[in-house]
Amino acid sequence: MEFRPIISTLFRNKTGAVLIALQIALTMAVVVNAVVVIEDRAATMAKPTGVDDDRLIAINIASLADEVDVRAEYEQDMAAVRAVSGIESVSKIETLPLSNSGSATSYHISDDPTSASTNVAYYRVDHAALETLGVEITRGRWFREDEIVFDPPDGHDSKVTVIADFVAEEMFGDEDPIGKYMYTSLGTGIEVIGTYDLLSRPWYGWGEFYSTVMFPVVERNAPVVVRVDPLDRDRMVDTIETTLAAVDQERLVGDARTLESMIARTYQRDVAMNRMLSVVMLLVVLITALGIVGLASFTVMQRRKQIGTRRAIGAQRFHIVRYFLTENWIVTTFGIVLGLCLTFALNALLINEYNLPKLDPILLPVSVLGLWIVGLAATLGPARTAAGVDPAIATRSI
Amino acid sequence: MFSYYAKLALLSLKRNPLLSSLMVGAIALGIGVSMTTLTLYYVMSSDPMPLKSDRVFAVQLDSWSPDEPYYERDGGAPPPQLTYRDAMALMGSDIPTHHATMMHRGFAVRTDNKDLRQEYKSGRATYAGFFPMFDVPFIYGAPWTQSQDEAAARVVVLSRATNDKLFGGRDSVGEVAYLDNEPFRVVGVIDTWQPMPLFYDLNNGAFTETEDLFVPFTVPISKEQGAHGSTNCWKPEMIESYQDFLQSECVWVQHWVQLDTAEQRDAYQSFMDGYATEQKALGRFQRPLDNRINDIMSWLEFREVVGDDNRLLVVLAFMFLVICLLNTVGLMLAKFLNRAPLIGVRRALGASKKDVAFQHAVEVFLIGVLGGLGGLLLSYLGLLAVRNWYRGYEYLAKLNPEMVLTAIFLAIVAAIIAGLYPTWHISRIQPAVHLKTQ
Repeated sequence: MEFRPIISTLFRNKTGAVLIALQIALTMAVVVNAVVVIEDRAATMAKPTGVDDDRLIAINIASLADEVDVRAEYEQDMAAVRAVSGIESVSKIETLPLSNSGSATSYHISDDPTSASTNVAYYRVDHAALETLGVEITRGRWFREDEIVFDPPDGHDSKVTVIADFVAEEMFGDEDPIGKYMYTSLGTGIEVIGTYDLLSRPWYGWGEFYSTVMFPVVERNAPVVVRVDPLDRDRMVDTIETTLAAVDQERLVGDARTLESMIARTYQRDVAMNRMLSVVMLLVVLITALGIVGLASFTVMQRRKQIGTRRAIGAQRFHIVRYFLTENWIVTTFGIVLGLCLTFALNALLINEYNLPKLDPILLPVSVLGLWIVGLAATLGPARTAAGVDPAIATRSI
Repeated sequence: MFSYYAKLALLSLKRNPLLSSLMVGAIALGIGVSMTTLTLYYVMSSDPMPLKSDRVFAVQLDSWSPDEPYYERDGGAPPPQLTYRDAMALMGSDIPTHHATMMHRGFAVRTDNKDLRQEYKSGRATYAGFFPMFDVPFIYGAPWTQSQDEAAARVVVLSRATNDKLFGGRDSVGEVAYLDNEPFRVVGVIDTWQPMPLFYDLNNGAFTETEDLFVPFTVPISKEQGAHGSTNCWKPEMIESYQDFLQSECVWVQHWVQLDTAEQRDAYQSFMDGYATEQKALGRFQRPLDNRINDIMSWLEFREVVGDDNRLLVVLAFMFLVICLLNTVGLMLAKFLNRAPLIGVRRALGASKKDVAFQHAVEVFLIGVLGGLGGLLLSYLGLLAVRNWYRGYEYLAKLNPEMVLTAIFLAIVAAIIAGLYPTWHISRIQPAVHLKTQ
């Protein structure tokens, strides 16, 4: 291999090589750090909610009357929706995972308000919610129908609760949580009658994602949540809204939407950020590759005579191709070494300023390999043009 | 001379269309990406009320838990909202030019017109001072009066869009609209009014639309209704009735004041501190005195309205611009040097270094202008994509004249920076060397 002549050629014509190396270095820093952000967001968004996202539809209901018999209204609405064909289950549930609206509070392990506490997001649900949401009971039992409290006054707490396995472990460790009590900060005890596997909070980013509990309560104006077959879902949205609107003309019924659309809305900033970063990443690589093509083409044009001479004194076509590929590889590798430093520097800055996660070490070999391939692929075209230079050119203009 | 050089530059660009479009394209992409992120950043961090933003203040009182601050950062900061009882105490002050406690709340709205379906509209319950304080423009009527505030009068101010929908855009002052089935008399209609960011209530996002209608704050209070926003409580206390809630330590209302002079501001600060000290005697406000008034821009900064995401994007976009520039430098250099023999001849025939430099500077400028125009087109497309990807960003992602000028300026500066070295390099060519090889 002709490393020595290549390197001495590079030294005679530094500027172009330095520019390419700098581009490669910056490209690496931008791409690797963009991937760190994208991976971080994607990991957040990939966390399951614990319910069947693709099967649920929610419809808002608001009664304007001063006094409403919440239980009677509940029975009426449930009956109306159940009469629609294709309904798997229907409930009134205060909020849904990742719908971005809900409440959280802290519960203590004893009636002493200074005792250890765990912050939980709570769901107020009816007895059908287990089937509607598709959550699994892991220990103890689920709410009985007669335990449901309708429209309790402010400040009323349920007497029983079903909690997430995550919360059971937080509060009671390895002990059996069934029959234990959790306490409000005013010292009211609530009995734990069961645990379930997984249910995320109505939002993300604040508090433990799976720290949730459920209470058997149906509030006034709680949304109707319907479980349907995923294939029928989009068709059912309007049907159910119309059905509920017909129950009582005096109520406002609307805003029917699928859980998936609510989740998409909750994550829209992250999705948009990832898209923008992906576009920037693609463009960066594209620009750098085109830059390499442009510069390599020029080098080839400038060196036509020398190439012709080499060919005339016996170099094969593949020698010429190899020469240019090796030259590019050396420049790219210089860029990569510089790029590694830049990548770490930028990552450190981003960790500091924007709470970005540390970069995954596997990204480095992958990006090095990727940049080598991009560099070589970009040089291949001009190198083949160079190989096509007629040896006779050497004899012509000297 | 300039026009001749411009012609030469055009010819030179045409001679090698692939390379020229690469250079122009690189600058255009760099500008497009930077301008897209910069426009977002610029609108997010812009002043929603430039004429008055240093005279209008968000009030913070530190009524939070003695055990921990509301915000951990900067050694603790008071909550962003007030308790009802504290806000009412502040409304008793006569120091501010205008002041208003407020909350966000939705209403089911209809009129006597049976053809219109009852609809859910977003509303703001506030005091009459809201309108003059925020310079809200009226098309019809006027704000309600102070006595109507006190009487919890059923009066409403509609937004232009709501008035168009409910009353076909006519002067509806004196007509009746039903809010949650209760008749309200229309006293005013405001013109389109969209401060961006929507600074006065950041609970439901900073880039949302202004409310559809406005009613006196005392109305929902008299109907025992809460806010559709965020309610935060720290104290374990029994809340069994609406009165308990109003007297509780929960923070849930916003309070704004207009203080025009330094004297007013000092007086108001001592008024707040005096009130807090008084409350300390009653066992409340157990944290160290930390009561604040924040003008609009410092409020937006305190509430971190410009997200980290946007800063990060700007940083990455500018790194991208640098890559594009390096690219252009390389390509220009190659292109200019390729022409070295020709330049050698020009120099030998008497062109000075300056002439050669000027000739190439014109070409660089041309590339910059073309890149800038391409960049504008790309940022337009970029912002179109952003509007598509983010709901609620319709007001944000728009090119405005300032940004158009910035883009062109940035492109020319970028091209000149990129062209500096190649131009300098080509002007230093030794004629003799290049003449020899001809």
